[in-house]
Amino acid sequence: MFNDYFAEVRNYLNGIPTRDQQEMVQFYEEQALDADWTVDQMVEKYGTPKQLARSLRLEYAMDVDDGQAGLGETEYPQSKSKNRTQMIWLIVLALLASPILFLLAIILVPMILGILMGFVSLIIGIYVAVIGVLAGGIAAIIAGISVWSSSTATGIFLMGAGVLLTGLVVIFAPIVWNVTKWLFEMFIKFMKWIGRKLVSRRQNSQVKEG
Amino acid sequence: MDIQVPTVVLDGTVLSILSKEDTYGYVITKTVQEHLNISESTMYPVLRRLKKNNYLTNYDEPFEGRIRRYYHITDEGVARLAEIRTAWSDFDKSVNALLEGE
Repeated sequence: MFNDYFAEVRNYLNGIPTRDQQEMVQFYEEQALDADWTVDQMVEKYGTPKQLARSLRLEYAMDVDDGQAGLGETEYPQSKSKNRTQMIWLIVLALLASPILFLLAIILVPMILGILMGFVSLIIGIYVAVIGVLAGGIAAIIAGISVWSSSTATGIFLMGAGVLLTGLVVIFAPIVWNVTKWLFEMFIKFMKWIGRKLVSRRQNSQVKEG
Repeated sequence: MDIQVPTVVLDGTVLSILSKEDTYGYVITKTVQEHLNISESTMYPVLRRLKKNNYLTNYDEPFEGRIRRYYHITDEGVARLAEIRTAWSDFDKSVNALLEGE
C-alpha cells in the first residue's frame, strides 16, 4: 500500500530523468516513513499521488527553464519549448486546482490562454508579412528588369521599389522579431512568478481534487 | 487567521535548525511545525532552494535498511543565517513599532 503510493507518483513523473525523479521522491518517501504514516495520512498531507506529482513536475519544469534543474546533472531530454509548453500547462492546472486562487484563476487562465494565442497569431502574422513583402520586393525587381528594354523609367521605378521593400524587410524583420521574443520572455517570467507562488502556496492549503 | 510565512523566514528557520546539528527531513518539518503552521510539503522546495544556493549540502546515511538524507549547513549558509537574523530583527522592531506603538 505504502509503496503503491510512491510507485504511482513515480509513474506520473514519467519522462523526467530517473535520477531527478528519485531525488524528488526521496524526500517525501523518507519523511512519510519516518512519520510512519498510512496511505490515507499521506493523501491528507501530500495530496493524491497525481497532485503531488503535478506540483513536483511544475517545480522541476521551472528549474529546467531557469537552467538549474536537478542538481547539476546531465542533458535534459526535452527541448526548451516543449518544457515551456508543459510548464505553462502545469501552471494553468495548478491555478485551476488552487482553492484560494480560484477566483483569480477565472480571470488569469483565460488571460494566459489569450496571451498565448496572441503570440501565436503574432508570429504567424510576422511570417506572412515577411514572406509577402519579400516576395513583392523580389517580384518588383524582376518586373523592373523585364520591362527595362521597353520602358527604362518604369524599369528603374520598379527595381527601386523592389529594393526598398526588400531592404525594409531586412531591416525591420529582425527588430520586430526580437521585440516579440522579448515580450514572450517577459510572459514566461511572469508565468514562473505565478508558478513559484503556487508551489510555495502548498504550505497552507491542501488541494482537494485534481 | 494565519499570516503566510515569508520564504526568507522559512529559509532562516531551516538554517537555524541546521546550525545546531545535521539532521533529516522529518525532524526539520517537525521542528518548524512546533511553532508555525506549515504543511508537510513545504520543506522540500525550501531545502532544494537552499541547496541550489549552496547554503547546505546533503549526504545519505543508512537507517533500518533504507536511506536517510541528512542536511549540513555550509559556511555560506551560516553567513546567510546571520544576514536573515539581522534582517528579521529590524523587521520585527519596525512592525512592532507600527502595530503596538501609540
